Amino acid sequence: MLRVKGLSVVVDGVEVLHDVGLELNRGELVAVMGPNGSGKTTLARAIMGDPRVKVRGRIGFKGKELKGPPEERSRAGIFLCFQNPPGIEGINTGYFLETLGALDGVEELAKKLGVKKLLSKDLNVGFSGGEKKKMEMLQLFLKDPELVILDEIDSGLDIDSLHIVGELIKSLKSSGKAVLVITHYTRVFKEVKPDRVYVLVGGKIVGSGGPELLSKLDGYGFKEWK
Amino acid sequence: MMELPFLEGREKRFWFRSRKRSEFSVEGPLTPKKVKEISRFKGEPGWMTRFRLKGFEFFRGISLPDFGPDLSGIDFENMIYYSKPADKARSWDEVPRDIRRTFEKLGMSEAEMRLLSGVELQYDSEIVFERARKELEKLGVIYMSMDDAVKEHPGIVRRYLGKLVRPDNNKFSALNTAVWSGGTFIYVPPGVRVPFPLHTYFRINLEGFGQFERTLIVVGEGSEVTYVEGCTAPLYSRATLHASVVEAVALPDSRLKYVTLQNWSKNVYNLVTMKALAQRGAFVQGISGNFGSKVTMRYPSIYLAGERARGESMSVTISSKGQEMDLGARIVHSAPETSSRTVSKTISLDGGVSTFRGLLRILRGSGFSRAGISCDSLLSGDSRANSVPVIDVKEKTAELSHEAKVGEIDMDKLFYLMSRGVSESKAMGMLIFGFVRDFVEELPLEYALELQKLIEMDMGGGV
Repeated sequence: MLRVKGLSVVVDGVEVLHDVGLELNRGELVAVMGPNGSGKTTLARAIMGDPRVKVRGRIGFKGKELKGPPEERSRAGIFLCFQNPPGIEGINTGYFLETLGALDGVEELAKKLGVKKLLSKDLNVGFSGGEKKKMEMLQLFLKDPELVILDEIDSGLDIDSLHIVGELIKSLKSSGKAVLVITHYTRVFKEVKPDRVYVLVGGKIVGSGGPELLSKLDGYGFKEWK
Repeated sequence: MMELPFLEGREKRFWFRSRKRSEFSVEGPLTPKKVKEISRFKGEPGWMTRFRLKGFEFFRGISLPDFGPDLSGIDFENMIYYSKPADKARSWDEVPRDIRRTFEKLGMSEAEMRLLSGVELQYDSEIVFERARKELEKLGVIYMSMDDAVKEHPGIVRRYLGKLVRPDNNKFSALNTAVWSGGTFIYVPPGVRVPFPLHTYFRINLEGFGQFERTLIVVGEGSEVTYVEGCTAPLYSRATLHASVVEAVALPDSRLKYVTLQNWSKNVYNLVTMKALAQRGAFVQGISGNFGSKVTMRYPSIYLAGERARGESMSVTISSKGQEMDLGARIVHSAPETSSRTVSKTISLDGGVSTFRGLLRILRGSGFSRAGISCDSLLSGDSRANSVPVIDVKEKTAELSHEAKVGEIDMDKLFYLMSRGVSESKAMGMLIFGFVRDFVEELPLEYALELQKLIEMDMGGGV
């Protein structure tokens, strides 16, 4: 479903990713693991089409090259859960969710996630870290995409929330979505093991393999690849 | 489109009939003889003819402003100064397609669209108008076109007209004095609180969007009124110069809220001279939204001339490609314990230029006055925002605060919204709407909703 080949990405004149390649199929869970500053978020931005990053190489999605602006990629079925979604002053959360084209089910879903009271506030403004994550999940459910990119979804979560995120990933995978989890901790994979793991260090894929890589990372961290 | 607050349900009806045409027009170059012809055609009393002629003399003698945008594109020699029927689009087909499309997106009926685009039709919304008129009559409020007021209420008109905005204030106030037609006259007697906002479109024979409008508002002692003119929908005009004059007098302890929204088509020079006087304990609030036009120059003045008078000026300005918006409030404190607040929000997109040219004067004798100026700009692309505030404080006991911020469209926010499938232009609109929200909250609800739609669909220029 997602084929990244020879991808180099320049941000503000600096090449942050070099010749990155990865593959992700329907119903698969793939992890991109790397320390801070390795270019993980840049990878997510490049796939989502952030106009500020300059891309060389190829990002293929469902057999077509991804080239358009973010809204086109969103419509094509890609969803990026932001690590730190920005606050949008002046835009009511409930109103915004409705403009995403989801007229029904918003309230119910919000209730389920325990964020109903946020619907009357400005989008992501004054939300706690956990509330922001839940608002991202809420939008993820509303958009019902085919490819989900979770950028540091586990950062700043307590154990209970980690469990919820684990369950979320499991259900996304079992419903046939392609799931790309970008993180520097292995703890989010307690509930469900990735099909493949890529190790990203210094903007390069320096290793890849099956879930067994996780225990190696748990033991030694990223030192071995640095 | 616009629901009236005192009407239940949707019992509005519209009638349209084409108006008989009495062809009369005055073309440049302007001469005293032509000015007299206008006055004669309108059947005006002699004092008004003399007023016009005085205006013409000043118009001839005064040069163009020596600051601000380039006005050399105005062709005074070949302009149509007066025409009856008003020089608006003659048929629906003449209205540019993008403007028609905007109307459609705003969800207006064709009837409303035709009205707003100035297609020559008479608009009678009789039920609405009758109810409003009866209520106003009961209260003794006079609300009519300026043209009628000159004949029906010459006493009040003569007492105030041309006193705040003197004919020689600037070249365009002089020109307006000479050739004005249309505009609004409001007189609220003492001790009357007008229970609903007076909208321009209440008036039968709507001439509110004229080329040289003249508006005069007098609010009696202890009275209160809100006046709303214009609309957020684009106004197509064949005439390229619009020079209006507004004078407003708030007598002691009265309140005037003046809301004006303008979205002229992008061929128009919109040059407004507006002055308001607040006497002891009076409160004048001026709120303006400036969206269209090629060039806008507008520096509404509020004179706080009596003890404890208050003035507030809020404006939102959007300039995009090919537009130059030059605006700023002028506030003069000349009495003790007066207070004022100026809030300006300018948005420059896609090469547009906005300039804030504010003036604040706290004169000797206005001890313990307070004034605040806040001036925010939002920029994108290679647009420009200038700020030229002049602050002159002659009183040691005066309190003054001044803040100015310039920011760009936050790309993180834009990317975030776009990643959720929102188009770039709509995402820009959302961010702009957030930026101007304080302003929008001051507007009557129906305008706020329209403005939101307008910004979301129309203001998303290139980044």
